[in-house]
Amino acid sequence: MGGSGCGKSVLLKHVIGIEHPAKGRIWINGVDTSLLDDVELRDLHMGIGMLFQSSALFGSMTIGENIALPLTEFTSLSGPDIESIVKMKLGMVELAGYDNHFPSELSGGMKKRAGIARAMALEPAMLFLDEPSAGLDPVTSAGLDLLIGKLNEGTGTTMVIVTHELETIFNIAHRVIMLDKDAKGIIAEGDPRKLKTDSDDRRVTDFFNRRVTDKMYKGTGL
Amino acid sequence: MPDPVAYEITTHDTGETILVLSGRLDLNRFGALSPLIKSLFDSYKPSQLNVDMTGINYIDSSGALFIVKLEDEAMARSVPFSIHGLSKEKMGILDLIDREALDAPSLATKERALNVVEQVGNASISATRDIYDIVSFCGELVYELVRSARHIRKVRWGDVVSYMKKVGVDGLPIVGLISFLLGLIMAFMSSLQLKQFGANIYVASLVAVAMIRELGPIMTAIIVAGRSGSAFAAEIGTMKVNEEVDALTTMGFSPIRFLTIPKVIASLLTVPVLTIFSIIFAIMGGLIVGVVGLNLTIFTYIQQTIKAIAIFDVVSGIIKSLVFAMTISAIGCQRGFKVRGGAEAVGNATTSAVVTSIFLIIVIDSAFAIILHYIR
Repeated sequence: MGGSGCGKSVLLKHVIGIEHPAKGRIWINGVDTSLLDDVELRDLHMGIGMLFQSSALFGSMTIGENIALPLTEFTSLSGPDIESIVKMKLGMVELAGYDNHFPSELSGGMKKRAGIARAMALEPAMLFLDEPSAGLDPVTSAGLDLLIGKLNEGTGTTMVIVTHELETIFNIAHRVIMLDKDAKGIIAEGDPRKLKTDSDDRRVTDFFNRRVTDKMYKGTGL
Repeated sequence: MPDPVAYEITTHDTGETILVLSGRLDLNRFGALSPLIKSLFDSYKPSQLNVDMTGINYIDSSGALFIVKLEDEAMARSVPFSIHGLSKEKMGILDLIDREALDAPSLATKERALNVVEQVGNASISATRDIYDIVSFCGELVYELVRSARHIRKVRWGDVVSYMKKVGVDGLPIVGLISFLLGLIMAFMSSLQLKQFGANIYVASLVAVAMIRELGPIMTAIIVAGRSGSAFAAEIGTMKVNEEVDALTTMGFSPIRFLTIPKVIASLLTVPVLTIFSIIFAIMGGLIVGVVGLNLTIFTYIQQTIKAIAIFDVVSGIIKSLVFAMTISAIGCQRGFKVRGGAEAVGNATTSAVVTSIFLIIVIDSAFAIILHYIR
């Protein structure tokens, strides 16, 4: 978590291997990803699921086809087996019956759910979610938080969520890492509830308590 | 390579069947295990089915799906079913499976394939709409061009210069190369015939007349349609997808004036210049064949070329290239504005812009050929 522009999404893209670090190393499950060749990186990616901020569903495919795509490409499952798994995944994200809909026919919240179903198609050990509740209304956003929590508990999948939504952080996070633009790195780490009350760092408590800086008040008359 | 499936089936005299599963019950095993759902009941005909999962060390949702489907099959056949040995944490994944969702009918049915009559009807309606759209877009474009001419300062000249570079300067190398090779080929092929009659000198006339009257304007237009017409469609199409065009409208701008006029003006200014370059490069190609293959001197070749060039042909070629420029930029922009949806629609608009432009270039060229025949 962290304010806008602190590098949350950029860091996530480095972790999942879309971007390559100019300096430093990235370790996943004890493996230094900078030492992997293309084939090894692809195998690593298959163990990782990713929900993009815009859901990134393929517009020319139905929701069912979007979820089935990694299963048809990377497994030897039969057509009926893939269909069963697609229906099961849609049920898990509460989109039963939407397999023949196109992404353009779904609301923002439904697209996020479908994106999660696709990200989980290959049963990844790790799931990365980039701002899952961005652009959603508070009720839909809270529903999505509940779903993410339920999936995390049920599947035991490690989930890394990039967000600046305080509600999402308190609803689902077991541990948070806070980034800061000026510090160009991590400024806090731990239980979000404890950080909110116990942190000595003003930047951390300001963030959790939605306090704006004195400079921002200037000229507002408040 | 998926892990081998570790399961064992034992039956008792009472008909009770025990399925012992061990190791990982995951997606990699789902394919191998799913045929077991039916075959277990058909082969063993159990009166009761107990699944022993004590040896399971990992289960994912696909593994849970196998267990749920096994239980559903047992219920359908009225066979008592039970699970043993799965820890409480691992049981949680079974609760994630929504049983009703597995048989839920699709809320949207796939569109049925249209028969031939329906397809012809659809194509006719879409062609009629397309013509209507192009005509109405051209009307708006002409209106905006007239407005821009009256308020010349409001034209975005910075954009015009930028598009002139993209259409003209960046397009010059490929137009030059293709035209040079075209002149070379034309001169070489015609020389093979003209040599027999001792009419080598007319190779220069042939290349010059063909390029100025027809091939120069048409080849340049086709290359510009492929390079820039497609780029215009993709640019405006992407802006439509990103709601940038809607933003312009809500801010009170005319999207046609803001986005199309600079592209049209840039094309009108650069395509005739590119056409002239195309003709010059083709004549240079012909010159090389004439000098190297036909023993003509550079001076003789150029003199014959100048003799063959008529001012009427040059002017008509330039007018043609202006009309082509207008067509390419207008169609490129119109196809971009028609984009609805996402990436696929942008791709379709790009293809459509190139195909429609080339088609219209040929149609307009035919019209010019007839008109110029009667004027000349």
